[in-house]
Amino acid sequence: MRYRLHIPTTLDQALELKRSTGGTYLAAGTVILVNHSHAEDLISLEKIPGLKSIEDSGEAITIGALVTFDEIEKCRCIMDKLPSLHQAACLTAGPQIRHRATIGGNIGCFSPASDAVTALVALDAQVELYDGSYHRMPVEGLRELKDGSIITSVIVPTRFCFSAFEKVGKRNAMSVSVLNMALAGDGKLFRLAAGCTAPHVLFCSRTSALLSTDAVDMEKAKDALVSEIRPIDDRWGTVEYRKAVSRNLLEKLVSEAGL
Amino acid sequence: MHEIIGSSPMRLDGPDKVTGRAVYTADIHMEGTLEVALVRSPVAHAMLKGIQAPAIPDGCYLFTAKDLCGNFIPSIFSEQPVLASDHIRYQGEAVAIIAAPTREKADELASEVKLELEILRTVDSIEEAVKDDAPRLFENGNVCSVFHSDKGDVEGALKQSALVLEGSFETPVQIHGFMEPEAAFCCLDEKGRLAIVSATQNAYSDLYTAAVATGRQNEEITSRAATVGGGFGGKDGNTAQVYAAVVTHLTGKPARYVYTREENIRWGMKRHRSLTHARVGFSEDGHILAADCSMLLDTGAYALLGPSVLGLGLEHFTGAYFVPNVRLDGSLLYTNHAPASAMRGFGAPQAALAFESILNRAAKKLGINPLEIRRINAIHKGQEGPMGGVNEHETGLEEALEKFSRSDFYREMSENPEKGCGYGIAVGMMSSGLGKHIPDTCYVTIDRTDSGFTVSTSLVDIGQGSQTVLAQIAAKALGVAVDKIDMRMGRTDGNPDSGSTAASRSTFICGNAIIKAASEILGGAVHAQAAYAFPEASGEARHTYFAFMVQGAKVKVDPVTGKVDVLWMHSTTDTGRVINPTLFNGQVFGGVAMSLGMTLSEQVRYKDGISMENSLANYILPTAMDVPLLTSDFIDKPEPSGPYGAKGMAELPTVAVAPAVTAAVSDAVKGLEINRVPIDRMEILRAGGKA
Ligand SMILES: Cc1cc2nc3c(=O)[nH]c(=O)nc-3n(C[C@H](O)[C@H](O)[C@H](O)COP(=O)(O)OP(=O)(O)OC[C@H]3O[C@@H](n4cnc5c(N)ncnc54)[C@H](O)[C@@H]3O)c2cc1C
Repeated sequence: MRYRLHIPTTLDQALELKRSTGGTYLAAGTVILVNHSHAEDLISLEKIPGLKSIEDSGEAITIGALVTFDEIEKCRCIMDKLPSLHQAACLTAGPQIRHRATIGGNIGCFSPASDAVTALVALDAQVELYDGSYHRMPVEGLRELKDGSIITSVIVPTRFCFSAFEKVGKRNAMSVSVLNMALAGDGKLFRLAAGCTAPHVLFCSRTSALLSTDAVDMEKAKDALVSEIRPIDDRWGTVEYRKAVSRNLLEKLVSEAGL
Repeated sequence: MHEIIGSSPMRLDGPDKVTGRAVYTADIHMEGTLEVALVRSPVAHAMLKGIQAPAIPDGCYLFTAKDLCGNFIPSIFSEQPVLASDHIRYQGEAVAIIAAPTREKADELASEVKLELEILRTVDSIEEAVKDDAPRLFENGNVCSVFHSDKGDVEGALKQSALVLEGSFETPVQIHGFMEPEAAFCCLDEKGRLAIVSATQNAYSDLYTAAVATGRQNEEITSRAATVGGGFGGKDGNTAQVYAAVVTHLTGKPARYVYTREENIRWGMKRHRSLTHARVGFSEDGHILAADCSMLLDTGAYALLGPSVLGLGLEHFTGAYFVPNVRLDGSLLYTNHAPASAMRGFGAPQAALAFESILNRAAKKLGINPLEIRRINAIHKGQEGPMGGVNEHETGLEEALEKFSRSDFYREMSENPEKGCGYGIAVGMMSSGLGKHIPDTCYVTIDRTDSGFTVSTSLVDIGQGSQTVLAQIAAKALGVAVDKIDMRMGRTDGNPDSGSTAASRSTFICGNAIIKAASEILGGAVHAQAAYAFPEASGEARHTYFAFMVQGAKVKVDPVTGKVDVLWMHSTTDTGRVINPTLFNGQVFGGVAMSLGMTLSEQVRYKDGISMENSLANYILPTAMDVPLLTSDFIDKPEPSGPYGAKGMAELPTVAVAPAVTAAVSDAVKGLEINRVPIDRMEILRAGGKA
């Protein structure tokens, strides 16, 4: 593969390049360079300032789009306040990939197996997008990036006193998820998200509602979950396996949450 | 001087490898080298009606079967063409060779070649191959070869058995997973000879294959191994070599062909998928009275070494035990898959899963300790093997079992098992040597030099460390230090044909040849060449002697996901005298890790003859995070025919891993019996009531 690599130094230059070349944004490239994308023009975001910081405002932690999983793994405030996201980062790929791979790229590849995205959806996180001006959108509903929008950061609320993430892979590292699941709760309201169970990471709204009632009926919640997800048979796992493990993981997460 | 045998001097190839100085085939470059790509069939089964080539620019080349002098790859049946010319039998089969100044250009041209194909129905599994209405890969049908052996009265003994256990077992297609993919380089040397340099286990076989395809005399070709990054059987025979050789022969230019990882996973050689049905009869006190085994192997589109794999697998079925009545039946079947051939263990791991699993279940049912049932059945020197023929060599299984019973592993397992964990034991046995009726001789030349001795042989060190072990043997035999020995391996030039680095034979056969040549040097010669032939097995037996391994496994099973975590693998080995304990452990640990892959996650699956796996992201090799605590020890029981008492052992550690792990899983999940690897997590969930 041969690419033309553009290295803009501002968001506006990047947008302009996107519009003039029809190229693809490049963060660490652990998805696009590995998947042999046919993009002829790559627009690197690397040299644009302001995309690499982690800031804790008290109500939310804002993570720059170019922050790597390695940085998330080592970040004290994420470890303390967003344990599910921290866990998802730790379980992503292996040390070499984590050293490069970015959270923006994890969202931007729109994979149903993006581990961090599952954690972010459960945590009710928002992305900040730039398309000439800044917008905010929930990670949950994001399916594409319109008009060359650039993800600049993710804003993750810290109001959940409980959050946990589970990943099922075929091996202990360098493993695409067969299934992943995250639960976040503030004591009353719970949010459940699952990956690899639909074409995109799924916010399981009905199950979440059942978990947010006073007396949780576990069997009912498991049934709701299995009717909500739409897994397929693929090389990583079967529908049967994904449904069975979804039920089991839900039970495990709920018991960890002390529900 | 300290004792050379039984010590672990630094690997002779170590410094070059860790500093990056070692030259692998892909590192070789010469001005004007052509890069090779193959036009490969997009479908698994078809008749080739025509080839439409794009315009080939100057400096680029396209060759088809018409350009070959002989169109077959010499092997057991030699039915595999270098380039398919009429019948295409697997997806990815080579149809034409493209050579261009860059691989990119070669790939581009290859993708522009259009094949006119008449598509045929695909034979996608062993199960389909044996059906009456299955499409035929060859005129005579899909049975490539059969094996049968009968000793004693199996049915009678089964009737008299207090316990008869039966089961059907399955193992997957596995790849060798070597770090260096298949690769070959070729150029003309100053004498106009084709000079092949490759990632090979057998330099001479590359020479013979190139001779057929190019029509050259053997003397007009030389072949040598570059530094080889692992073989495990997958570089035993032609991979890339013949294509580079044909290009150089036809163009006069240097040529290089390096497989991509996708080519390696999809179209490199494979371990045979197996279906094994077994019945074993036991007396009340645990003696094995009879064993009946039928094994089906998927050889893919061509035989390669498949017939030998089938024979060895069946010969090893009853493993390390004396069994008076044994029937062995097997078929090697053609399917529209990439060909399987040799892979470390050569059929024995497939057989061991069946027999050792049944043995573990019998022990449980009869209330006998799993070590004890093995001890009372262990084969002794002087006893008859499964196909008749007396086992005349040292067998240390009993001692190995005894040593294993004193290990920390066994103490934990029997006295203090960790809560929530499961423990299992199995025994592996592995022959050494190519087997009866196959020429099995090694030639060694020793020359006295100013600084010491050069020791040469055509045998290749494919990364296992034979260079170091053989230098130790030479040093001992010549009474000098290891650094006085200059090992020169893997060249046809100046060396007679010593065959392949295969069948766990190098240390034994080459070590013996070295000792023979060294005795002439000690007698005063400055130059000596010696040949050593593998001793023949007696009677109907195929193999002469065996090495043994007691394998323990400790696992933890996650009831939520069905995932198996292997925590500890401990083994005790009988391989005669261990020449180099560090390299011995390297073989043990590597072999165990390799078979853990097959047990837990590795497999190539086919849909319409196309493999679902095509990269290391989806062909799931164990990572460092998956390989558990590995411990290993050995007994020291010298084999008199071995060089300083050594027996071959390189394949042995792959044999008993799967049955040890599945036994451990059964121990952790009561009531679960596993007959198929890689282990299906659904089986675990179901057994635990979690699915
Ligand atoms: C061996 C291996 C193992 C892996 N294991 C895992 C795993 O366990 N879990 C997991 O979730 N993922 C895994 N991945 C996938 C990948 O590493 C992650 O998804 C990573 O977060 C992608 O980030 P990146 O910076 O490399 O993205 P890139 O490849 O640079 O980009 C990915 C996509 O996002 C777009 N993009 C990137 N940044 C932005 C932005 N700021 N604004 C707009 N669009 C953007 C790009 O245009 C592209 O389409 C693995 C990958 C490899 C190679």
